[in-house]
Amino acid sequence: MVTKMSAERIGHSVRNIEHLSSDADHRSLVRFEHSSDRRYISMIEKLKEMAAEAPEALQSRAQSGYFGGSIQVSK
Amino acid sequence: MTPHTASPSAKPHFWRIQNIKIRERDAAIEWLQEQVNDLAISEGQGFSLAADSERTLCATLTSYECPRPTHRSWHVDKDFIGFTPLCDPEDANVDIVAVTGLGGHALGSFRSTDGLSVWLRDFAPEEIPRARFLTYGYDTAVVASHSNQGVHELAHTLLDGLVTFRQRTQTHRRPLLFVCHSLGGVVLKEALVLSSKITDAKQKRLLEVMTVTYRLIFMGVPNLGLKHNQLETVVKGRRNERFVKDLLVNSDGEASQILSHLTSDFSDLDKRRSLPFEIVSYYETVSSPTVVVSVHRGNFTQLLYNLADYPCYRT
Repeated sequence: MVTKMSAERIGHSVRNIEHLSSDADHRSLVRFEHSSDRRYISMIEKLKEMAAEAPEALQSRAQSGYFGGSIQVSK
Repeated sequence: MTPHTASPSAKPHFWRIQNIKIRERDAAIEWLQEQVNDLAISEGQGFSLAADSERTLCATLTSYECPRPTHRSWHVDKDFIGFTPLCDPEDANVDIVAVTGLGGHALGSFRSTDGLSVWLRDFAPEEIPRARFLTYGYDTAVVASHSNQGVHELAHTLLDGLVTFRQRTQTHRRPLLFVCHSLGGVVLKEALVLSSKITDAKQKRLLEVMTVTYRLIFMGVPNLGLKHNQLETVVKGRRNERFVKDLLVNSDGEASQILSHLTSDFSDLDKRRSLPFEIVSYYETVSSPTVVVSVHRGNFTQLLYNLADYPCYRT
């Protein structure tokens, strides 16, 4: 199994990570039986929230023009 | 066609049908519906049909037998290498991209126990109706072969393939969300770091992947690599040594060089961003034989090693 520590060490100081446990083994982490599956609901709700906010969040950031890359992206 | 409910152990396969012309859409839907007629599907349709370029559509299908298309130009495969669209809403405003683990299957790794449904295709799209779902499949030959491809090359292939797919469907500026399983998360992190290091304005499209990526879901990603000192021996001379070297924890329990660089590069990238990544990371709590990497040999998937036996890096 992938240890909790290994799963958590995404970066030394990545600012915004939420760690959640899932009572499944490694393979079953991404396998869900139906749309009322408890583990599925946990994940899809996160995904839904992310999807709803993504376009807006990126748009407001696009106004600053700088994304953290090495070149500026023109609008 | 005989219904297959009698044999619970037999699982259906996932098929991909490419090169369906836009004008053949109706014929394709009719044909796909016929194919899934006898399946006892509880959720979803058992198939999908979505644009993979301005002129063509790509279908996926759940079926016990290899489908025989009515059009000779339709191309059937079950490897799912590269990007496969699973839905294609007209008003889509975000791409959700699933990245399986190395040696995993772009659809099969996400299936239900009966093998009939895949949440990415069969029930998630209706919950997030304005998202286009894509799934990424690796060429497992890369993992298995003598090729000198490591994490870096796999990440580059993913990045380039994603840019190409989004260009071909005129969607290259759309925000991106990723759902990564297992080593797929390591490859994606490397792809984002690679993307951020693009300095050539001609490759602006590659940089755009990082700039439009905001949120990630990681499921059991072994950020510190795999521990198994004997793995190198198992693999030596026969398999892709470079790949194994990239992911293996050394005898002192330290992550490989590439993986420790990756954690710090990814951190640096996050620090530089005006808007930090938002990540939800799930870790497993049930210990059981865990296939992280499997390698195709002929038609069979040979399980090469298994994380439960070779626990990850611990301090």
